[in-house]
Amino acid sequence: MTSDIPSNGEIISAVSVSKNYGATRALNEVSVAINPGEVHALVGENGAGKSTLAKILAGAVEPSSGHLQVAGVPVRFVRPRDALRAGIAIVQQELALLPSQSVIRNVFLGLEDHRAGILVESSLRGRYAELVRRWGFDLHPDMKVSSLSIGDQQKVEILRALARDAKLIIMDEPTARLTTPEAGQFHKMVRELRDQGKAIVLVSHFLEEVLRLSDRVTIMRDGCVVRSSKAEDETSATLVQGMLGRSIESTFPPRPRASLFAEPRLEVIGLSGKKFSDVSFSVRSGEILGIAGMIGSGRSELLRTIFGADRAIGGEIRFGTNVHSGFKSPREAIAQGLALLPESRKDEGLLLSQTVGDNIVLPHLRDHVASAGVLSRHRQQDLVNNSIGTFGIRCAGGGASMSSLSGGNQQKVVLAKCLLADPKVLLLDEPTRGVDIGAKRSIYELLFDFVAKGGAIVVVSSELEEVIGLSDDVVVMRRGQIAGRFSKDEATEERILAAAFGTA
Amino acid sequence: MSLSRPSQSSSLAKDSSLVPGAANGRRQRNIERMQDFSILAFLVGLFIVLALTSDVFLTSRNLENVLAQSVAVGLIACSGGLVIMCGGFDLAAGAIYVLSAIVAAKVSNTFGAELGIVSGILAGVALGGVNALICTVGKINAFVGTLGTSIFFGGAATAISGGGFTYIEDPAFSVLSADIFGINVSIIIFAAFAAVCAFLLNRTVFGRYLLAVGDNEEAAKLSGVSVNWTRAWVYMLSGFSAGLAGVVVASRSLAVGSSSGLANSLVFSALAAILVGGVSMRGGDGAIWRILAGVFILAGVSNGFNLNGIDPLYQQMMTGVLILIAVAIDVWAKR
Ligand SMILES: Nc1ncnc2c1ncn2[C@@H]1O[C@H](COP(=O)(O)OP(=O)(O)OP(=O)(O)O)[C@@H](O)[C@H]1O
Ligand SMILES: [Mg+2]
Repeated sequence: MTSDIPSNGEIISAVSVSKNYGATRALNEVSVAINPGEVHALVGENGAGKSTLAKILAGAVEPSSGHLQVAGVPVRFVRPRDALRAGIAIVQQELALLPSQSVIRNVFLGLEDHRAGILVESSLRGRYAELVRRWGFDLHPDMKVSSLSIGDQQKVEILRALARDAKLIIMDEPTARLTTPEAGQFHKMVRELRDQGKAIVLVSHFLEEVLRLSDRVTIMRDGCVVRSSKAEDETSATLVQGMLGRSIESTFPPRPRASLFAEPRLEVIGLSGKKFSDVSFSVRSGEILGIAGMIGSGRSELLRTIFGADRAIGGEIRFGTNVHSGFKSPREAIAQGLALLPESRKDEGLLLSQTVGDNIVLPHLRDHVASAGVLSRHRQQDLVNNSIGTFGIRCAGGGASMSSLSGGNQQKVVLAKCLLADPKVLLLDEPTRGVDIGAKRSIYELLFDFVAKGGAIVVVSSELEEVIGLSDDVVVMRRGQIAGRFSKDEATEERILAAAFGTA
Repeated sequence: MSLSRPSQSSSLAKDSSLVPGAANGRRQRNIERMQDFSILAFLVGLFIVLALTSDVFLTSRNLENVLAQSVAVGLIACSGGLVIMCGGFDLAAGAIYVLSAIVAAKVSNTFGAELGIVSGILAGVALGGVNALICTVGKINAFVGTLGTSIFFGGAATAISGGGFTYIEDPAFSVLSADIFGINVSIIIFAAFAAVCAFLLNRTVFGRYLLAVGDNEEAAKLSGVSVNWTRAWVYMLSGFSAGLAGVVVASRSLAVGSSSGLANSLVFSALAAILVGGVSMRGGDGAIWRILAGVFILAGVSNGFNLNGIDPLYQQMMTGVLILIAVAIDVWAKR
């Protein structure tokens, strides 16, 4: 345990900080120091307390005991504004932007220039131009934020931090929602910020990214700091060992190849929808089809349309023995044995104010929980306990409220919900977003288990390693159309990227 | 559950006692319990104060009166609460109440009381169906949509009745406010309806769907819940209860008014009870018994002011304060 905490010189440090939520210790006597000009990574399992620590440093949450200090002097942040004054800004796990407002308004929100309460627009424009020039960003000030890609929205948040002259920017899983090339751009940006003297706290589950990008790594487990050390002294293996307390050989479990003679489970023929056109593919039982592509290339819309959540404009879907022009509603699709894991767990996947149990059984109430419309509590409890065990969901049990779970554990709940009813075909949209590396492997095991028993999977993922590691075949989408198809042996990162960019 | 268990190593959290999050659920439950407790304590406290300050309050006659007078508001508040939990809003319940009572009176005068009562209730369901269509298929914001229908139904009520009172000729109509085993039928109807609503909400698939739709529409839809049908049933239930309230009240005096002022005050009283009962306006959360507590708190306050001869103006101010307190507890507790 090398917890060398250099006092002084640091931008901020936490001293024996603990945080209790009721009787839960989210953080237990945590001490870390963030120094100027360093990229400081926080790694750990889902629920280890990374986001909690990040929020405390940014003044979004107050510690239950312990304190923060700046240059050796204790400080108290009651609200994010106090942290901002000390030069600390946060880009949260879920972006916090005003979607229907322009970029410039978002960047300067709360910093508006005014004379006697009347806005002075022009000075803002000058400041914006200066800001973008200085940091080399390329974003039109009048674009509506909702029309930007996730990567660009993230830049808006970072610009907002820079506009406040932050010395330290805390980023909670910034690359979880980016495609591989976008993540590459992001890495470049982080290096530039650091070279200009900014400090960055980076929460991430991507260990390679952590090793490549950061100067110092703090490993957390169960609310405690395991160690804080120089990044060059760590390897993937030592990080995993520290995070999990055990080692895992590889993220992808071994798996037999699908037999070529299995029957097709799902065929999509010339399907067109709002953001894609003329898409065809088929998956056989026992097979995993990966769909790669840039964000906005129509992948999520494709899955939603197959599932009946959006209307198809043309084309056909052959599912089992039925041929039709698309399911009319998710309800029909579920009844036929299709399941969708949606892209955004917060907006599309979960009822955040209800319990874990209620969430898991929601799609299955009629078939598995109720008789004649009346619910059976016992049946629900059995199903839920079973799922919690199978998926290793860290929570107090089926009665825990959804909003008390950490991001990765919420993702496991969405997956449990999908798999509960034994579907024939799974449509997965970013299935392991925000999930830690140990849990990732157990999710992959579940998926391989599912196909080994005759299921079929269509998986959209922005993580190239995941697409390649999981899939038998990979389809690449670009601007709503299929831009490349590769078998397992042909699918390499270079080829997929070339197809996604259209440079093939 | 047809999934096989994966190999041991992949199950990450076996020892649930060590798992963080355990207490969070507990904290949430504690908050809810505190909310439940505060509303009950208030109701009991109010009861005691009223019993002490007035000799009349505890007489069975007065209590039955208070109950009987709460029937219309109570019926509308129970189903109106469900509408709000489902992420909707029904401003038209009052107008439906007036219009279906007029329909009941007219039909009763031509075809007799039985058909009159049934058609009044059915009219309520049908008008609720109109709201349902507008707010689901029509995709119109619930507040705006039901404000529109409310004004329209109110106009229709005046047009059909000619503006004044409509008198019911068949005395059999008053069966709904007769006494059975010494209890007024209308109170039994109210109790039964509240029980049905509570059962629907807590024990049925429909109740679960209703909360799901109110909590996160998109997630509910992707889980295979028909958002439109769920909302539609809730609006029709609300129409049903308004129609029921209309015929029940008409059965007392056998005279039906057409004033839209009455309709509006009924809707606002019901809304006040729902809010005092701590139903979240965001949807996805609430309980029938708490709505009932809200109804009785407001009815008790009003009764107390009457019995003690205090100017009803203060009663109105008190209602406003109670709503603010209830909503504030909800907001602060969840912070
Ligand atoms: N607002 C809250 N209310 C109750 N419990 C909470 C709250 N926020 C976090 N927790 C609990 O605190 C613990 C730490 O959560 P935190 O979000 O910091 O984890 P994390 O390391 O960021 O995980 P992930 O990688 O999944 O995002 C978890 O067990 C979580 O359930
Ligand atoms: Mg987190």
